[in-house]
Formats: sequence, C-alpha cells, structure tokens
Amino acid sequence: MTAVVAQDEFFAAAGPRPRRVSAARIGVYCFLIGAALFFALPLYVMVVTSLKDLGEIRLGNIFNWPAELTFEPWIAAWSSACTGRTCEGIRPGFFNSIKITVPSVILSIIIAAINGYALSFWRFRGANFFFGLLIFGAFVPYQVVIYPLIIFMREVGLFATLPGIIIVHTIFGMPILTLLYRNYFSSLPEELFKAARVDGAGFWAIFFRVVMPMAVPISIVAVILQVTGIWNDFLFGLVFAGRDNMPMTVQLNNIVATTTGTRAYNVNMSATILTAAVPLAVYFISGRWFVRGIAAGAVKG
Amino acid sequence: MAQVKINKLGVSFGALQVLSDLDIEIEGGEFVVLLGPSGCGKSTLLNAIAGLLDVSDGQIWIDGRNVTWEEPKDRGIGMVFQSYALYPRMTVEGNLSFGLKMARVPKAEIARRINAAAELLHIDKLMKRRPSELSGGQRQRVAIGRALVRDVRVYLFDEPLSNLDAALRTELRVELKRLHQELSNSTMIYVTHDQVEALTLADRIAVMHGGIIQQFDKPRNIYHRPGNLFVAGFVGSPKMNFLDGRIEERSGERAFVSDEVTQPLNGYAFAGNVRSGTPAKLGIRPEHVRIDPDQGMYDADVELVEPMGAETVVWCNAVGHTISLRLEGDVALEGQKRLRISFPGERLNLFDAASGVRL
Ligand SMILES: Nc1ncnc2c1ncn2[C@@H]1O[C@H](COP(=O)(O)OP(=O)(O)O)[C@@H](O)[C@H]1O
Ligand SMILES: [Mg+2]
Repeated sequence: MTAVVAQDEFFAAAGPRPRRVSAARIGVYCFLIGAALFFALPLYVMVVTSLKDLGEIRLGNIFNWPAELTFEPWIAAWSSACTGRTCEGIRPGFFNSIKITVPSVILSIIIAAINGYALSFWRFRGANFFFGLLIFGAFVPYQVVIYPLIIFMREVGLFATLPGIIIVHTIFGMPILTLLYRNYFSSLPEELFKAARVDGAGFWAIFFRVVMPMAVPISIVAVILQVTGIWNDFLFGLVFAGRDNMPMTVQLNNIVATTTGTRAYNVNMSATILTAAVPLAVYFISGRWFVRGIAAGAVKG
Repeated sequence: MAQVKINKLGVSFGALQVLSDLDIEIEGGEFVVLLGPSGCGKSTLLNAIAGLLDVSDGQIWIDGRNVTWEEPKDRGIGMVFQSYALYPRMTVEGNLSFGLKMARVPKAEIARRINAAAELLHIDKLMKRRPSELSGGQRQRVAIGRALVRDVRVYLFDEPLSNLDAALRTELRVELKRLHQELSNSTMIYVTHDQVEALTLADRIAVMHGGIIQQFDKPRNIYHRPGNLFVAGFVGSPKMNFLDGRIEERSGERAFVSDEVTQPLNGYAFAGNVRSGTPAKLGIRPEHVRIDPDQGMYDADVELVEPMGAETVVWCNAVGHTISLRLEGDVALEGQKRLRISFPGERLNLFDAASGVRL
C-alpha cells in the first residue's frame, strides 16, 4: 500500500511542496507562545496595577482588569509623587536623563567612530597596542575605577556636574563602541580607502564623505546600545551626576523607596513604566530603521 | 609623455621583504603589463608607484620628478582597482566628480571632464545611479572613468577585469586597448595574472616572480624567446613541454642529449657560448611539435584528445614524458594510436638546468 502511495507522489510531485503541520512544529510554537507569555505577564500586571486605585489594589487580585479605570497614578507619578522632601514626581528626572543621555550618546559615538576609523584605515605605529589597551578597558569592572575616577573628577572640578557625568558615560562607552566601529570598518574593502586617497581626500574628507555615509547601519546599532545603556544607568548617575542632575532611574528609586504612609503601588508602577518607556521606544523605532538601514546600505561593491 | 622610472626599490611589510632592489624604466606613452602569479608583489609595486605604500628603499620618478615622498594625489596618477572601489553612497556622477571636488576644480570644468569621460566609456546614461544599481561591467567602466577625469599622464590598473565574467572581460579588454590608443600620450601600467590580457594589451610585459622582474620585453619575445625557465613555464597554455638532458658537441654539431632523445640543434640561435656537457632543459611549445609520419624522430602514444573548437590539444606519451601538441581545430586523428613527431630546431628553447637562464 505504501509503495503505491509513494508511486503516486512520484508522478504527482510538481510545483511547491505541500506544507504539513508536524508535531515538532506545534511543539516549537507552544514553547514560543509560552515563553512570550512568561515575559509579558509582569508587564501586564504592571499596566493593570497602574490603572487601578489603591482600594482595588488592596483586594489583591493582581491579574484582574481594573474595575474602574483611573489615570490618576500616572499623573501623580509624572508630576507630584514625593521623593524625600520634594514632591515633583519623576518629571525632573526625565529631563535630567535627557540632558545626560543626548550629549553622551552623540559625543561617545563621534569619538568612537573616529577611533575605529583611525584604527582600521590609518594603521599608525602602535595601533594594535592602543586597540588592545582600549579593549582591555572593556573588561575592567566598574567598581575598581569608580573611586579613582571620583578623585580625578573632584580634582578637575567636574565632580557632581552635568559635564562630569557626560564625560564618565563617554569614557565607559568607548571600548565597546570603538570595537564596534573598528570591526565594521575593517570589513569594508581597503581599496575604497586607497581610491579616496588617490582622489586627494585627506583624513577628515575620507571620514565624513566616504566612510561615515557607509556607517549608517552600525551607527544605529551604536545609538541603540548607548541610549539604552545610558538611560538605564543607575550607578554612575548616583555617583557622578550630583543632586541637581539625578537621572530618572535614581529618581524612580527614590520614589519607590520613599515610605511615608501606605505604599502607592499604582504610582510606583506608573513611574516604572514611564522610566522604561524611552529604551522601549528606541527599540521599536530604531529597530525598524536598523533593518531599513541594512537593506539600503547594500554596501558591497 | 610621462616616463616612470624606479630605482632600487625596496618594500617590506614588517619583517617580510616583498620587493628589493627592483629597477624598471617605463617609457612615456607605453602600455606596460606586470604579469605574474598571485602573491608575487605586483600590487605591491603598483601601490608603491601610486604612493599608497611607504617604500623602505629606492626612488620613484614620474615624468621627471622624484615623487618618492609625495602624496598619491600629487603624483599625477589615476588608479583603477580590482574591486572597483566605487563610493557606494554616491551616484556615478558623485564618484566621478569626487576627486575633482577635492582638488577644487571649478564646476564648469568638472562638468566638462565628466561628460568627456562618460561619453568615452558609454556611461552617460548612468550618471544618476548608485553603484549598487550597476552591473559589474558598468561599475568597472565608472571606475575607469573616475581615473580618466583626473586628466593625468599615468594610469595604474590593478587587475581591473578579474572580477568580470569571460565575455565582459574580452569586451572591456578591447576597449582598454582602444582607450590607450585614443589617449596616446598617457602611460599605462597594468597588473594582471592573466597571460592573455598581458599578451594582447601590452607594448611590453614585465614578468614577475617572487618580487623579482624575470623578463621585461615585448610580448612577442616573452612568448617566443622566454629569458628563463620561469617565464617559459608561466606564459603559454598548455604549458611548454620540458625535457631534462645536457648539451653535447659531436664532430662540430651541437645536440641536446638525454636517455631518450638525441635532438640536433641546427637552427637554434644560442644566446652565448655553451660548453659541451652543460646540463640543460629543452623546452618546446605544444604548437611547435610537428607531426611527421615520414621523417618524425620520436614515437608518441596518444593518451587524450581535447577538442577546443579552434584548436585541438593532444596529450601523448613520448620520450619518457607527457608531451602536449596543439593542432588544428578540425584535425582528424580517429584511430591513430601512435604518431611520429619531431621538434624543429629553430622552435626550441634551451635553458641552463642550474640557473634556468636561456642558453
Ligand atoms: N598589507 C600587507 N601586509 C603584509 N603582507 C602583505 C601585505 N600586502 C601584501 N603582502 C604580502 O606581499 C606579497 C605580495 O603581495 P601582492 O603585491 O598583493 O601580490 P600580487 O598582487 O602579485 O598578488 C604577498 O606575499 C602578500 O602576502
Ligand atoms: Mg594583487
């Protein structure tokens, strides 16, 4: 019987192979859906909790959809929740984080791109040693350098200032970003660089007019990396930013940790979601750009 | 007319000495091909001429100026690369004009030169496209155009056709030759490992091996009077046939003698005096082996026949070696298992077995 079927198929096979749902495939989907639910569940709990009033939260049904939708906790979290003595919500932290993140990201990416470019195209003497040193920097634990860095920043008068924290972020982003750019540039054909030199372009002309236009995809990766890294940073912000420039993460911690009266779970949840919103948005927006960048980049000559 | 002169050039990468003590003198307006196997230092030499590499010894003169320490852009050269090396984020027009903009050439002059080059290379319809929207042949035309607009005296080509398919390669090869005729006062230095390209394009060929120029001569001499064993074996396909033996003088007549053959050498033009008994190698090209049923000197057992259309290559077992013969395309050898062959004296090549130099 089976032989007959095989015979039939032998002659009938034409065009696309029919798709069959196999047990393995169902298993894979079940696993994926399960994993997605597992990670999505806390987010769901956060969102519904942030939309309930405290009375409803006290009932303890954390998975229930809010009986009565309220946006009060969000407004409170943004503009009136108390951190210690001040009650301005998380809003100042948001703007501080912007003030820290934007210059740090721009500065670190520009410097790293120049580093990577110089390291891969202008092989100066000791370039490999310099690169090795820089990469070594990526493996030094932060805790080791924090104290010397505090002293250094104090001596140059930048401790607990906005420029201070920007410089710290720029320094700590340098190894990984330089590695990123150097490896990307090393994969570009060297003849391109030679052609530009014959055409009379110098160090900066090649960098801005030939190399950087090709570096759009990797720059988007660098932006994602830096924005999320710096926005989510807690330790450096706490240590180096100073009281007036506390980033959003530190402010969030202060709100959540403030224990006067009852714990406002809904406000805490709202503040947390607000703090996480920026990196999330960056992923969603630039992720799409990232794919587009690669497709448009069709660099290969 | 820009002469290119290289004196005692040395180039090394760290401890690896790629070129040393290299001399070559290229006349103005000449088309010179650097031919050699991969890794022999051709690109290194070309890059040194272009100024893209630091030299460790010697001098480079272009058009009567010592340019050894000058930047590539100041040497009066244009260069075309194997991988095209077009700027991917610029249009064809942007690629052509980039160098001129860097040199602050006036706009009108840029437009004039671009149009001239585009017309010459038939790329005028592609000006607004990006390199990724061009075919391989079109890209290489643009790359050649980018060198042309620089309006220089010396053009350097580093295997410009190696990435193209066979048909396009032939087409562009012809165009390059035509281009050189049109730009009759420009000097071209062209690197390739393809002997057909070298033989068809060059006024003179410099055959390189191991960083040393083995022979620098007209294509005709490179092919018919190779200066040493390397050149003889490298140029020509199928390869020249070689036999080991020695030169002997018997009653005033010189002959090449081995265990299997005694080959008279009347008709061979010796380059110098040769002592009797000198160990030697005899070389003969496949197309020079003669089939001679009546007066042939050696038996050849046919092993394999390769019809190639225009010609037929026959591989035989003769005089203790595998010998190849190149015959007419429509030659009929049906059923012939054994041929009688001979080696005409004036077509032979003799080399010193020890030094490899032509005798
Ligand atoms: N940048 C480099 N660093 C080290 N060695 C190199 C470099 N470029 C070329 N070489 C070496 O120099 C030799 C000649 O290279 P090249 O001039 O590119 O050969 P060709 O162009 O004839 O194929 C090769 O052995 C190669 O490995
Ligand atoms: Mg090469």
